[in-house]
Amino acid sequence: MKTVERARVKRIVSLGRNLFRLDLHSPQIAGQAWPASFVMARTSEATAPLLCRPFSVYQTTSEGELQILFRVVGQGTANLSRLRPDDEISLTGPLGNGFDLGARKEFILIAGGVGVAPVFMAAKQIVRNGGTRITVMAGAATGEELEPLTAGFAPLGIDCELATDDGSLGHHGLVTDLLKQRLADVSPQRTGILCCGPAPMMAAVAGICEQAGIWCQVSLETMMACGVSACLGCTVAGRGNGKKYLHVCKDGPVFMAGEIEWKTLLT
Amino acid sequence: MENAPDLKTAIAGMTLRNPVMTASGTFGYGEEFAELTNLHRLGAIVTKGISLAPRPGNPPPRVVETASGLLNAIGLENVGVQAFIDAKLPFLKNCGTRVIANILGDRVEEYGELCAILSGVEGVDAIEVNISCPNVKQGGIAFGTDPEAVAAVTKTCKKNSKLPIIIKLSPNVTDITVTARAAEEAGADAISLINTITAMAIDAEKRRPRLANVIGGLSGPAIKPVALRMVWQAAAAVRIPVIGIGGIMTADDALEFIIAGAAAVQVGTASFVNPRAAEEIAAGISAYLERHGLDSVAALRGSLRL
Repeated sequence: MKTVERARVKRIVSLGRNLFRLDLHSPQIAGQAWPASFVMARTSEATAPLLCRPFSVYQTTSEGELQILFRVVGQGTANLSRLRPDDEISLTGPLGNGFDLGARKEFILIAGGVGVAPVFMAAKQIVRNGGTRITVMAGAATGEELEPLTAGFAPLGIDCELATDDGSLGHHGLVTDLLKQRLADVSPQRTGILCCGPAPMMAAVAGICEQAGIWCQVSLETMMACGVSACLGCTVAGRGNGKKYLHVCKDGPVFMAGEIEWKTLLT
Repeated sequence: MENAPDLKTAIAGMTLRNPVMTASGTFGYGEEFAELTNLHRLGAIVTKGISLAPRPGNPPPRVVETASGLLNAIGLENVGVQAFIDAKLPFLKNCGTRVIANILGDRVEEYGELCAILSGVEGVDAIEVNISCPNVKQGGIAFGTDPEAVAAVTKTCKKNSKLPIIIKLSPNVTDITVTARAAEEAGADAISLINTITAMAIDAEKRRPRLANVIGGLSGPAIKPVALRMVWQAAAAVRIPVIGIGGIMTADDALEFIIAGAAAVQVGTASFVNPRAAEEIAAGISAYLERHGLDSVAALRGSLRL
């Protein structure tokens, strides 16, 4: 059940330039969150920025802690970056649907930048469920950025294949290069892909999976006013015989890669 | 509280628990907010706008934030009247508050048909008429900008319905009192205002409009002073009740509209920022009345000291 909660800041951790992890005491929402669920966070008590901002849940603890990752891209996230322990912010959640973790025996999890949040939560859940093999492929602009974003996987016993734009960590190039290299070993019957990152990355992954006949789910991000399917503003174009328009907050944020009209999303 | 002020508000032949409603298009069909706020503490729920046939809405992007405002071009996406009756109304019937169905159309006859259909079902307490849509027969000029079209829509709605008819006025006019009077003279039971203000935003780097539709409607705190002025002018021009809408975020905002002459208010964009906004505003109005020794909302209405 979704709820509105006053969340107390426990700590804010700098993960590099303009990159943060915000740890909140938010027991009601944390107790219910699932992989790829999201929260709407109010970034100001004033009228600017006006709207809440959506964030994927990165991690929760049994002590009621809920963590999100964010990059400072505007006034709202700049406000969040200035929060200090014991400050309070208003959160609504958990919202949206989630990854289908029972769909396959083997998963390749693909993350770009802070898109690692829902992917990491999915990895934790898959490990907890047991019996499913996981490979993680993660990319970012630099190693400095990618290292802290992927540090959580090793303690779960999951190896990460990394790619950076500048070549400072892992493969020099795109995370989709890693996927292409792996394709020969992937069994479309056994393996599924869960993906979250920048739209061009997800579109490329979706294209590869479609060609290879691999089951693939993506978690999308859009501009959102309400997060609860009241405003109908977070629209993406649907594809084929499906719906003409999909709403990320209500129909998503997780979609089958084939449901999305990627060309429209990228323009 | 023993001597709690009476927030009951009589409007257009209905009695509301309090004068705070949710504005159309900002509260879905009520169910979306059921887990987040106490629906039975609202004066009324005004539904997302309903047309005869389902509408898919505009291409994305549909929303963009501007300075203290929200610019949208949703394009009146809705499930259509039949799906509203089948899938949305059953919940609303039992939600514990009044239900006002907001309707829209692109022909006068469509409004009439919608009124007839909605008058024939149980669970709708009143109809609010969105006249900010383009009138297809008049080359797409919004009904709400033409007093004759306002009168024609109002008359058709009254003729086809026994329910109270609230005409929601467009602010995109030179003189709001003209369309306010047109609605009153054509038999409207109440008017609500303002709808969103036509506006746009541009991405200078890309030299592209921020909305796919180029033009959208502006809501939120940015429009409150404009809305307040129009409510004040309209309330002075008509005898039917005026429902104030436009950027109401707090109880103080709502009180300003009531002092300007509104009999009730609608809370819109604020529900996106705080899903409990409408409920909290109703509580804040009660606290204000008590603090000022007023026993009803009516005692405050139109009490602006000039």
